[in-house]
Amino acid sequence: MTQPFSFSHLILLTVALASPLLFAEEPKESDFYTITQIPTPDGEIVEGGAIELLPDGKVAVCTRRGQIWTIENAFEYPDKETKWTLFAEYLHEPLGLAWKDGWLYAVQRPEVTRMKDEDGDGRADIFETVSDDWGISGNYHEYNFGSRFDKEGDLWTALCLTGSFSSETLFRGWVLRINEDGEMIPTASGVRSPGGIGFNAEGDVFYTDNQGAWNGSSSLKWVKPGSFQGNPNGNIWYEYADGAIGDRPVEPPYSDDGSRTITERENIPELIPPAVILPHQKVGNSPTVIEPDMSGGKFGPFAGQVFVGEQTHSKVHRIFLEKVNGLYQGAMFPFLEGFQSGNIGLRISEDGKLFTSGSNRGWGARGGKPHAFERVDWTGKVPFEIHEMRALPDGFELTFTKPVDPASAVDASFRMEAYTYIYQKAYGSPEVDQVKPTVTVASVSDDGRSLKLKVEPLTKGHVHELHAGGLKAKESGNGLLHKDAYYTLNEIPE
Amino acid sequence: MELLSAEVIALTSSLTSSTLNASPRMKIKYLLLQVAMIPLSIFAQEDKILELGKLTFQSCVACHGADGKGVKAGDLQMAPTLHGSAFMKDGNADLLTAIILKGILKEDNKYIQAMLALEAALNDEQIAALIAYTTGEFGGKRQSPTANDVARWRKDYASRTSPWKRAQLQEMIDAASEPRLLTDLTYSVYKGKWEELPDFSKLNPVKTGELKDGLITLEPAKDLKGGFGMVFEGTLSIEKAGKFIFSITSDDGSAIALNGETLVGNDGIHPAKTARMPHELEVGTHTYKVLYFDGGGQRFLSAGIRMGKETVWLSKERGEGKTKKNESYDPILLTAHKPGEAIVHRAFLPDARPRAIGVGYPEAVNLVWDADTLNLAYVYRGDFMDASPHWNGRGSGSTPLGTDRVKTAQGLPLQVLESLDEPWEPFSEATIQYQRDTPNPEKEITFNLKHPDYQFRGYRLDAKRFPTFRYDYRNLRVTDRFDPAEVDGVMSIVRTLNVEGEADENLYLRLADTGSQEVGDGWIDVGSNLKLKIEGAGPVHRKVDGKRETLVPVSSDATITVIYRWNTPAKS
Repeated sequence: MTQPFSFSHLILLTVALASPLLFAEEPKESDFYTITQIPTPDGEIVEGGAIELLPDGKVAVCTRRGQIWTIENAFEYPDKETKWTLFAEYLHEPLGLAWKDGWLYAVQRPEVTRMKDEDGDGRADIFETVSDDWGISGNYHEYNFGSRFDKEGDLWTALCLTGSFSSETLFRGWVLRINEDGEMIPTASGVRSPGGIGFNAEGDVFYTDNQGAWNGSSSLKWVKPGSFQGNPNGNIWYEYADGAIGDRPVEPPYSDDGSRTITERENIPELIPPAVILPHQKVGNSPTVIEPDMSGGKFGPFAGQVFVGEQTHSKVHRIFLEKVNGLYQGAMFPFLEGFQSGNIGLRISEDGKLFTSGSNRGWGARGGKPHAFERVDWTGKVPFEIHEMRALPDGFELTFTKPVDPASAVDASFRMEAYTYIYQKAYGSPEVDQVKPTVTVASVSDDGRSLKLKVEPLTKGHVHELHAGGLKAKESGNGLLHKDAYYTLNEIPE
Repeated sequence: MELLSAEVIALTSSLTSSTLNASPRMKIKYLLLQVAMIPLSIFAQEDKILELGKLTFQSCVACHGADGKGVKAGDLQMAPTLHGSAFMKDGNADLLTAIILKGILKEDNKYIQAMLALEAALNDEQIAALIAYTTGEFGGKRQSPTANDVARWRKDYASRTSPWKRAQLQEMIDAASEPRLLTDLTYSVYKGKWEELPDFSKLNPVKTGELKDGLITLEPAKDLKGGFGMVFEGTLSIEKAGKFIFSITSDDGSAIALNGETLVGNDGIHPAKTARMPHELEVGTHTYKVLYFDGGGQRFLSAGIRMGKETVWLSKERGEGKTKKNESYDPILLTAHKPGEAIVHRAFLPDARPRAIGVGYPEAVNLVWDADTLNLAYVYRGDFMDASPHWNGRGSGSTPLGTDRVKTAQGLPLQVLESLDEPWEPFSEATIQYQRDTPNPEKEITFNLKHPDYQFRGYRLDAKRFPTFRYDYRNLRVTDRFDPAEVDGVMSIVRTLNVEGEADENLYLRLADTGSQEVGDGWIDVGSNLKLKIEGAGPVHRKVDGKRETLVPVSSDATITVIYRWNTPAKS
């Protein structure tokens, strides 16, 4: 039996023919960056912590179950099978890995340990305690995140508070530095619940702190030595800092109403505002490690920018940082989502491969897998993205990875809202003090690679959330791959 | 047969009651006999059920009374009144069945009699009839479960072997009277073997249906074995906008999709595990979907929404399955990577400071060495370690297994004593004024403060992965090593403590602080079924602060060997 050709078939046919023209498919993240799951050894629970690249081309990953694996062919998989070797096991929840001079350093909860395989069987046999000059009480919350070595040869650790709210043993809620001689230098206080610590391209140190008490939203924070990051509970330990970072800051307001960071900066000179707020819930819930792109363009157009892991949303964020009036600030852009577990470790190699490792134990993650080890490869195609977002005295300058279509660079293509958070002892904060600035396009560069936005008003201390929904690329006519940006305006340039 | 069982109930109940005198017991028995002999065939179907119910209820009247108001016994009652009981209300027939089957534990003296478990005494038909009769008579509205319903519920509760506690019943009734957030809830069952959630949209369900009570349950798939999947879809009604925490606990994988978008992922093969995600919702209706699969073995699914402090369950199963309490994780026994090797496990461990290190030797003797005190904390033998509390949830530390745990001298190992009356420093601690979020704290807290004379240096593993711990004490480099060895037929632990460098005068190592005494042949009894023998130096016993201690003088570049031997061989 044949069906008669009906009117509805005709519509279908018409739509099908017309659709490539009418509804050109917008590019997806995966057109530019692909995520490859690298299988972990059978039966092993590789709840990924930190990742380090070893000089022999192997990749090391530490796990929340205390293992340290070295992986061969992680760069080449799936062209070559990976080989996983258990370098160490049963350590105490290591969340930092760093390689130096033939030693692999792990930041465990109780100590910084350096390890070496002396007999050459692939397994470490020397475990040297480099530093254990801080307190742990046995509370699960007392995580300890570690950086790699900075340009001075110091390794930095960020110590979580006791049980999320208080500091019940030495230096909980501090960032510490451990120098080559194993000396510990208390470096910053005011930490709540870090998720990772690392560097920007200039080698300055940043950590992420999770939304909670004295922390209205999760954010990326600059660990300026001597700074106070906002949570006063750890400040009792100043008397044990031996003057390493100056005097104890004055107390923030303990009232139920709280205050604003911008206000308290006037009262507490050591208080440093978050460099880039990662608006809680909007872009993620649990930021983790910080990793600069030092590949010089091999990882795409974002060389010199910073990438931040996101555990709950199983994502990676991209961050543009600039220094204004001596303070770091900048913009967060969505970068890539769809990882299999909750990203905790990130590492970008010099040849432009991004490795991620994750776990969702204790805190769920969108990816849904209990653990994962993945690699992100740049496909070589350049996405149409806001490359940089810089503060100007009267607005922002945007640069782009590709020229914009001047016809789309009009006021109507942009929308902005600004807000801040309460600085308070209570857990988290809603967005408050909302401002609805008007955005006008002040100028577009001749090459279409940048434009200036006039924003009225600019509000110091506020997140300026930009939606550039109408902007199109000149060549393809496509919209931005990610249309939103979140700029934290700590300072307005002169 | 029915007669017999009814008689048994009456007898049992009266026997267990100490206050019931002989005459009412006889009367009840007589009544039972009489009622049981009424032929059932003369009643119409519905009447038949009610008659059977009434007849069955005669087993209950001794305590609940023929009027269901409870029989008075002095100031007390034999049993509570059935009038107004929440269990008699609409929709609670399954809970009523649960009580009839399993009984209620007597936890206080409020009622003289305990509700007995009647699962062996009554068949499904009788229970269905009993519910129809009692709810109609005393509950206000007659419930009419079928014998098949009762048979199903009987299966549901089959694994329970003890009577209910009142608190449990209260929980059940609270749960039953909660508002239902889900409506139009449908399910689809899929057959298959997966290791992660499949794309159900591409599969054909083997069974579909509706869950009228608005509660997600794996019940429709209860007959499927060895791998199945289920998809639930319903309408979620939100009356007040706000931030909610969506949670899902499953064994194995699951996910929640809200309004077509995945909100919570809990995928993969795993024991009961919970994933949560906060999410803001507007007033109105939302489509709520749960995807689930079981890869075989244990199965579990619960889903809830936390609104403020309260969790509203969207599933028949509640809680977080096995992960609710730390103790209930499936054990993860640590085993050596290769046979014949030791395991060195760093974790929070009981009876040791947080920088604890557990060591399990292949000879089935174990110890915990404390890197906060730089000292042996305890020895034990048998199985080494269960890491499940450490490696589940947020991780609370591991649990040493085995037996014969003996704490050795606690606190720091070395001290210079100008006189033998000088007390031993227990540990290095300090105090500080601190209260959370308080500018002028009144409370004082005590915290560990590293002793300036000591520095832990880590450990080295030999070919068998046996650790040698290293630390500095003043100008001494100390190594502390342990080897299993059979001593007089008992697998023991031999400790070798080596000191390199020039020791201060009057430096001592404390080996026992639990009332030790010499018992001949060089052995020192330290209690708890353990003896020590010291080689390389002569022990010094002293009594300080009313406690007998055993010390060993430490000289420059000394090696001290200590045997820790249990008095009897380990039980195999």
